[in-house]
Formats: sequence, C-alpha cells, structure tokens
Amino acid sequence: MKIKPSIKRFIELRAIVLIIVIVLSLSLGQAPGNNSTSTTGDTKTSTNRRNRLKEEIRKNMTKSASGNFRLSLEMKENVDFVLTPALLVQELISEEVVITYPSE
Amino acid sequence: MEYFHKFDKSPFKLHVAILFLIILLSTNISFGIFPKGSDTGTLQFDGIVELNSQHFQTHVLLFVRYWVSPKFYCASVVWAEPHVGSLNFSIYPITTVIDSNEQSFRNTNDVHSKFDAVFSKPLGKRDVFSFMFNDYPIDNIRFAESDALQSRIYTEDFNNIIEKTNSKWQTVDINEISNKKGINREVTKLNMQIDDGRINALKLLDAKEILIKSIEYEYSSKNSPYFLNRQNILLPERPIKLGYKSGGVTMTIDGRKKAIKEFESVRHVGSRKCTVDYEAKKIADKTLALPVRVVVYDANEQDALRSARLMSYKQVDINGVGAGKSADAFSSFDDNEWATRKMLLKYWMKNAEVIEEADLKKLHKLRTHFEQIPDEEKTAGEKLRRINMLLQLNWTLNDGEQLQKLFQQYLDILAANDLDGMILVGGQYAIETTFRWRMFATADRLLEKWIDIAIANNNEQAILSFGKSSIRRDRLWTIVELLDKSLVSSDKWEQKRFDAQSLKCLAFGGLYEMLRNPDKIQQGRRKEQVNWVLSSTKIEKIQDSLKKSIADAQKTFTEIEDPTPEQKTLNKQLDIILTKMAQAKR
Repeated sequence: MKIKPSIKRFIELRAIVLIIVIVLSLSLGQAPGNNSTSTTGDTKTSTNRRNRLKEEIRKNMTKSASGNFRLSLEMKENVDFVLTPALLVQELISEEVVITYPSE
Repeated sequence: MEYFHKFDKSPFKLHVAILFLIILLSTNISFGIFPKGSDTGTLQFDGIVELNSQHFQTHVLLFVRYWVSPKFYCASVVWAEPHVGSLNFSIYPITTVIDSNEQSFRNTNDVHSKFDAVFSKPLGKRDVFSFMFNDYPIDNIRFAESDALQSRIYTEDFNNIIEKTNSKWQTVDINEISNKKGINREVTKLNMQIDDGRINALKLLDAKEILIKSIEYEYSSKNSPYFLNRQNILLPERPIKLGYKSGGVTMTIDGRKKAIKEFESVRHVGSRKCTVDYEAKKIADKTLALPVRVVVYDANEQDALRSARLMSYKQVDINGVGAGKSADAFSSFDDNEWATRKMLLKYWMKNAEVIEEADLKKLHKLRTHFEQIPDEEKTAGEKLRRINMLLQLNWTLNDGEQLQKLFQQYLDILAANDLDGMILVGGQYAIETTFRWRMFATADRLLEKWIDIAIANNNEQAILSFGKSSIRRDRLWTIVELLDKSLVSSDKWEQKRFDAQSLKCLAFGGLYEMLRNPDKIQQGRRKEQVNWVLSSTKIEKIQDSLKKSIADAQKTFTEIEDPTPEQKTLNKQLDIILTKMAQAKR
C-alpha cells in the first residue's frame, strides 16, 4: 500500500511544524525571565527544570520524528512474522535449543 | 569418617566417583531441561498467516507452506487474500519464496523478480532502521532470522544452574558463551523458575539487564514426559535506532545548529503479548507438541495484530536443496496461470464484446482447464487460488452465472476454514470487482449471497468494525445493505443497535452526497459504485430511506439511558446529515 505524495507532504509538514513548536518552547524555557540564578537553590531548581524540559523536548521530538517511521515499523513486524512459524518450529526440532519465541 | 577413610585408601575410586558425579550433574542439567528441541528430521506444514494493520485497518491472509529442519528452512506463499493488485504487504506476496540454509538466504518472487536477492551467511545485523511511510523492502525479512538467532538460547546455557528442582527465581549468566556459531548473542542473562528440570517462567535479559522477552510455559501433563500446552510471551518495548536515508532534520538551539540524522526510538510500542498453543502430534515414531496457533496482541490484548494457524505437519525426507526446489514449485505460476493473468491484464474492465476471437478461444480453454482440476487434498490456499483463476476468467468473459457459482464456492471455502473476517473483506472486494466490470445485476446477486454468509459467520462487533473501516474508504452501498439486513435479522445488537443504525446512516449519507454530486467523483470504483446503485434505485428513494433510517436511529438514541461520548458524537453526525439534506432541498 503506497501513500499518496500529498499525504506524505502533509505528514512532513506536520513534523516540521512540531519541530518549530519544540524549538520555540525551548527558547521560551531559556528566556532570561525564566532563569533565576540569585541563589544556589534557585539555580538547582532552574537546572532541574531545564533538564526536565530538555528531556520532555527530546521525548516529543523523538515521538514526532518517529511518526513517519511507525507505518514501516508496523509493516516490518507483519512481514517478519511470516518467518516466525519456521523459526519457532526450527527451535522445536533442534536438539540443543531451548524453546522460546523468535520475536518479529 | 569411615566412609572417607575408605576412599582415602583408594584415591583412584574417589576420582572416578567425583568424575561420575560431575558427569551426572552436568548431564542431568543439560539434558533434563525442558522444553527443548528434539531432532525429528525435516518437517513440512502449512500455515494461514493473518496480518492486520492498525494504521490502515487492513486484513490480509497469506497461505504459506513451510519446510523446516535444524539446518535449513523454506517458506512458499501459494496464495493471499483478499486478492487485489495492491495488498498491504511489502511485495505482491503470491509466489514469494524464502529459502534459508547454512550457506545462504534467498528471497524470490515469480511476479516481481526484480526484488529477488541471495545473501551469504552470516547475515549480519540490521542497519539503522530508515524506512518510512509503510515502506519495508522484502529482502529485509532476512534480519528476522538474525534477530531470532541472536536471542536463541541453548541447553548448555543452563549448565551453571544451581537448583533445577527449586521453583524459586534464579539467574544464570551466559556471558562466557556469548558467541554461538559466530552469532553475537543479544541475551547475556537468564532469569527463570525451574521445577523438576521444567522451565515454568523464563526472562531473557540483554547486557544492560533490560528485558528482551519473558515467557511463561504451560504443560499438558504434571509429570514427565512433559508436553508443552501453551506459551504466554511478553515482548516489551525495545530500543531501536531510526535514521534518515538522506538529509535529516536540522535544529537550531541557542544559536547552534544541530543536524539530526539518527535517533533512538522504541519498537513494539506499548509492548506485545503473544500466545502459542501446542497440540501433541505423532511424527514418525515420536509424539511431539507442535505449535498450532500463534497470536500476537497489542498491549491491551483486545486486537489481534497478527496470527498464524499451523497444520498438516508431516515428516519429509528432503535436504536443503530439495526443500528449496519444492518451495519454488509449490507457489510458482504455471503456464495456464500466467496466461490467465495476461488475459486479465489485456481485457481489464473491458466489455467481453471487444475480446479477440483467438483470445476468446484461449479464455474458454483456460476456464475448462481450471474447472477440471480436482480440489481433493488441496490446501485452502490452493483451492482459493484455483477459484480465483476462474473468477478472473469469468470477469473477463463477463459470465455472470458462472461468477455467482464461483462466488458461492469462494465464500464456502472461507467459511469451512473459519476465515470469517475474510468473508467480509474478500467478499466485498469480489463484489466491487464485479460492479467495476459494470456487471451490475450480477453484483446485486453476489451482494445477497455475501450478506447471508457474512452475517452467519461474523458477530456484531466484527460487522461494526468492518463497517467503520469500509466507510473510511467510501465502500458504502455494501455496508448499507449489510447493516440493514443484520439489524433486521439479528437480535444480538442490544446496546450496540444505535451504533449500527447510525453507521448505516453515515454510509447512506455518504452515498447520498455522491449521488447528488456525481460530477465531483473521479473515475474508478467510487464512480462505478454510484452507477451500480443507480442501476437498481433512484436518488429520491435513497433520500427517503435515509430519512427513515435517521429517524429510526434517533428514536433508538432517545431510549439509551446513558449514551457514551461516541454515541453522542454519532447522533450529532446524524443531525448534520439532516441539515445537509434540508439545505440540498432548498
């Protein structure tokens, strides 16, 4: 099943918009008003917040960027599953092998 | 003391006793572990592999024959359903052969030979995953084998177990023997519960001690000899590196530009749960527990993502070369099948009147040939393949009577093999092909047959899910008729009655819009759907039926004490249809 170029463009555009939003939110998170460095405690809190924000951004980025790969990862699981019966039965008839499950 | 004293006097005996003890212990552990493989030569079996897509809501069946030995295996796809040109798989699957032995891995396809490939062993590891938009080239299937071998475990991995009769959790480190047959193993630690040498639960861990998979084993007997009854497997989310083939994304943070070409993500999002059911089968002089059903679910265990039914196991005296040849012969098209395919492409969607005289003779000859092939001892896939050849010939010949007979046979084969979901999907495709060939009266008759068998073999939930996915693809008239009949004939709708009624209205509404604006529809199946509907009814009649259907649905809605949010949304959608109809009148 092939995806129409217009849909591809839409998905790519959506990814770009998401990335812009992420970059903007990162910039806002690092704006001077948000960064209090007057005391050590505040610095720690600010650093923690920044790290949390960075982690959140990293997760969001990964999620949005991996969106385009998801369809192929689903296809990979399904296509690879065609070999699962063969690999499972091969375990069953191989003397030294302990039966597990050949995950696709 | 006296006991040791005796040995003191005879050191040779002591050495022999210790050696015997060591051999006994290691033998017990190595060979007493269960479940483990048992050499049975080469096995041949058939599989019906079901592949569902959550993204595209597709349902695909592959009919595959397998040949498996400890040193090689082959898979040959003899048929696929529904039979359409573009099926949700990485290649047109019919005639695909996978042939793997100790030296090489081969994937070939008769119809699309440009994707044929042979790889020498070892196959190596997967590269960064760089496929997007549903693309996954078929030759990547070879890495399914590499992945499986990397996490395969062996009886000798259990040599370091201290207790094999204690059901407490224990861990064994298999780092020292992490290379097996040149394959860099992913598993470095095993965590398990063993009782009487029988593994009850097993966790496979990687070098970072992160779970690769966990398996619970159920046995059909409490005492030895043990037979596997079921495996429950958890495949957790695992890291995977994704990457762009070219370019990538450039980000600017703090004025610094960073190009992202690769990044970490996860596969098996939300995890997978699998079950493998076993049945005891007599193979030559041995009784073996062999897998008969594998089902893979998503994390909520509601939707089967894929499954395999395995059957007709038999031992065959064949080597790797022979298995490869058998696999090629089993699924490849013969001359008559190629000729049928050629004719179909030449006269696709054309009126039979334009068929050349010589081709007409050929078509009749081919039809007689396929009619005379006996179905006895054939697999479901082989039977469906023959019926499909005949369907194609009769579409080309525009023979409505023959199509009706064959369609009935087609649905009967699916029903006899419990392929209920495919009755819905495959039946709908066959009706669609018939009306696209502008055989409207025949399509009407096929529709009647289809509805009866579809309702008899599918529950309300299956019909509802199918209806939803069909509406998304503008397959409307078949759904209106299917839901209409089902609502009349089944008393099991109960809480879901409104859902079915409103779904029917949505299909009806979509169709009404198409009928009102036929010029906006592009040529193709949507256009032909409109022509088909108008061949037996008028837009005014559709409009009246739609109004009545909406009134019925909304009456049901008022009777629901506590409607779900989804039902409320559906009811609003019905109002929208009514508004549109009123506007159209003005």
